Amino acid sequence: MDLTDILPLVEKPARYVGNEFGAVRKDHARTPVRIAFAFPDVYEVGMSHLGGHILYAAINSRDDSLCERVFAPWIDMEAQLRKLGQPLFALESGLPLRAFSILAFTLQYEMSYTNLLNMLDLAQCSLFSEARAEDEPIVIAGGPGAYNPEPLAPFIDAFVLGEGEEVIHELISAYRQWDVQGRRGGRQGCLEGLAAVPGVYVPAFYRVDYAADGTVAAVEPAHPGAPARVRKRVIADLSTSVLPQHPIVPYLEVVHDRALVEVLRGCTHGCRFCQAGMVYRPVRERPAGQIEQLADQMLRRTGCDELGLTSLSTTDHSMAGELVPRLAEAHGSRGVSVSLPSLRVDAFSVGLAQAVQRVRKTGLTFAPEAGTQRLRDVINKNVSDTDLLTTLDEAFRAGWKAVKLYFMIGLPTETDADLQAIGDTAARVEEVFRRHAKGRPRLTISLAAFVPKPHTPFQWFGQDPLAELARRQVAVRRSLPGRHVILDWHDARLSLLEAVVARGDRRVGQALHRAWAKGCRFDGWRERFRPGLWDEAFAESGLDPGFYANRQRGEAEVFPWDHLDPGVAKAFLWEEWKRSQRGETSPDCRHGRCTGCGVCPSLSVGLVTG
Amino acid sequence: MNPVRLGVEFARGEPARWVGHLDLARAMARAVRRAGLPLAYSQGFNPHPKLSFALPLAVGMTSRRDYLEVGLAEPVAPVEFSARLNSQLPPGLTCLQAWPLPEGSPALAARVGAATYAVRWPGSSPEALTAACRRVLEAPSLPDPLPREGKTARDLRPLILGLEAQAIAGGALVRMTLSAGTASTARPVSVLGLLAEAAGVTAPAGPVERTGILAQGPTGLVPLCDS
Repeated sequence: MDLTDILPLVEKPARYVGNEFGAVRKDHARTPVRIAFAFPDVYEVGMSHLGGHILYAAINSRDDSLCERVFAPWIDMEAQLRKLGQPLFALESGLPLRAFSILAFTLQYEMSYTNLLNMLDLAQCSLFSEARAEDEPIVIAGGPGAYNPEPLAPFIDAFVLGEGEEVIHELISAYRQWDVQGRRGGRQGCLEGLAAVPGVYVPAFYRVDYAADGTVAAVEPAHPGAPARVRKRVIADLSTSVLPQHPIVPYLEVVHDRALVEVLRGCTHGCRFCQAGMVYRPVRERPAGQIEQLADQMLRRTGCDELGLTSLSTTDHSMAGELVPRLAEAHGSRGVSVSLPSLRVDAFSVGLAQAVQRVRKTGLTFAPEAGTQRLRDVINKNVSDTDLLTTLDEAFRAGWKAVKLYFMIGLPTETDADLQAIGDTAARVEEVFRRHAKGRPRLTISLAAFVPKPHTPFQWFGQDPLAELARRQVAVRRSLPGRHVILDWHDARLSLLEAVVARGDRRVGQALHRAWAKGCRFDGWRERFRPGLWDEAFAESGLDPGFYANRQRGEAEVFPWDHLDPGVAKAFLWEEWKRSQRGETSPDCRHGRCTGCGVCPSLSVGLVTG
Repeated sequence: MNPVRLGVEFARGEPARWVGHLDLARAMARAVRRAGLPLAYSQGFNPHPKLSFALPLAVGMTSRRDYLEVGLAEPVAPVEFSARLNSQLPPGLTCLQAWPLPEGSPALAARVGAATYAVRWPGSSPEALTAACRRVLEAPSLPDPLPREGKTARDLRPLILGLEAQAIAGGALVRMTLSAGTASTARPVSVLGLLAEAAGVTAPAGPVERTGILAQGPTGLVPLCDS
């Protein structure tokens, strides 16, 4: 489509023109399976997502398929498209999304769901799955949001659970088979084919019954082809996940503007609040030699001057001690810096940070998460005060002056003593700093309200009410040694909404729909968040946000996501929840004892470490 | 060792014209690195690539001949530089030539005196625009119709070095030579605004093309690459 008249009117027009170095253009007329990979946030956020690059390359490597990209248009672009009646288009061909066989959304964050609805609407597709016409694309979605996709169930034809590298090919095969056999059974026939692929969940094939108290009574298959439980997909060996041979290099500066190499997948620290730590199990490391080879390849083929070693906890890689300095050494002379996404709280991590920070000395970030040892035991965050202070001592000795510490408020069993301890920690950090330098460090305390997530030991926990979260924020602020400590906090109303959507059932879809219709977009963007419209949307849908966010659940409760299986057993999560209330920690299974989470036997995979 | 400096002449079309100045600089640096060319870096805690443009190019503008200079850690023949860079440039950017810059010679950006622009003006009368060009050039002073926010309107007249219209199929083509760089820089959209006002029509919506960047030579303006 011709954007010449629109582009001068919008901010960052390069978001919409595509044609970057590495973008793949294929002939639609000769390609039977045409997939639009849709990221429900702006270009700069979406292009930072490594999974999208991997799927793009995997699909485009097939002769029978093509993959193009589409991102959520910013408010200004949406206004222009609506004014002209122009449908939302894919970047590579400029063709409207309705020209594609499959629209594939990635669900990275609950607060992007109104953008997903908006993109469907701008694409001139039916919002509701049941209303979609035969000639509309099949709408699928994957990513972490698919572990509780129920709020999106009314809008999405099929969800994909788990890692996409293998299942994407099976999905394409199932689609093709339906397509070449004369599209027997119409859309329904296609969905039957998809539901037969392990890891694929077709919500329309399940019936949800509710109990008198409003909780879910049962979710049961209502179609002969639907399995009672859908189990996530994993790849057994991370070395089989290949990175793009010719990655797309954006013109615009994106959020993570660097060459990315995933060094390991999964995490076994077992932090009880962390959904990623539960659903991405087991830990699988990429062999060090392959990491070096891929790092070299990605740097050469993108021309980036920064290498990002990604994972949930990069310094956990068993070869990190040798590998990271070696990468810094190999590429440092060419002006390349190596970045580690988050650092474990130990001297080893500071040593690695020191090894890679020869080129640029930025701040260090650590996540103690809670102020006292007691509360860190409750959440199973295996960090002690001594760990934190000796780590920072090491960092200040090495010359760092800026430190950011992540904490949560509203954790289970939290008391005011735990909040006060955050301020005490800040004061002790400043003392440690004075051993090495005059004045004060640049200390930032980042405070997030805890959002209980599905498939974690805290899925039974009722989030603190809004007023209580606000009180706790103030308590932490008052605990700090002075106004020079930078306190970075998130809007608690957004955390409440996240908690509703994260553990929502299908009925929450109605509120999502109303919120979108009222104009909610980019809810995760501070300046765009409209909590008043969300309040109206819940009220008009007859839903109480507190039922989803703040209600404490009992052992017997059936969750809306119980039929979706990440491999970690619900009984294990319950046991962890009980242990947390007794203040008992659980070990990291990487160092010996199996904690019995169930993921290895149920998925027939195992830990892969060096 | 001082880096070897090369001047680089390049053109910008679709879709690269929608890229802002800093993004263009990053795209160029990445292309140089992908090409395996030994880009030099500044010293210090925050090394940045030795790559600088002669004159920033506004978002939306195309360019037939633009210039940048790069510092290289070791010598590369200009012809080889140009060929290797072209193999790695993203769509919309083309390297036209490269040439060596003598050690100690002033930066390209310091030599810029003027830039030339061309704009297609569909549906306009070449005669009427020619008359309007004359009226603009005859005016003693011309306040900028599109002053920068918070600034008073500058007098654009001394910054307009040349202005003419010629007939093309379906309308007219306006060519401008405007002061730029070390001297005061006039924006082509401002001059188009003046011209539209003088002709009593609305300014064209299509892209402005930069056709060249000029340096002040001993006997007048010369292309930057010959300066």
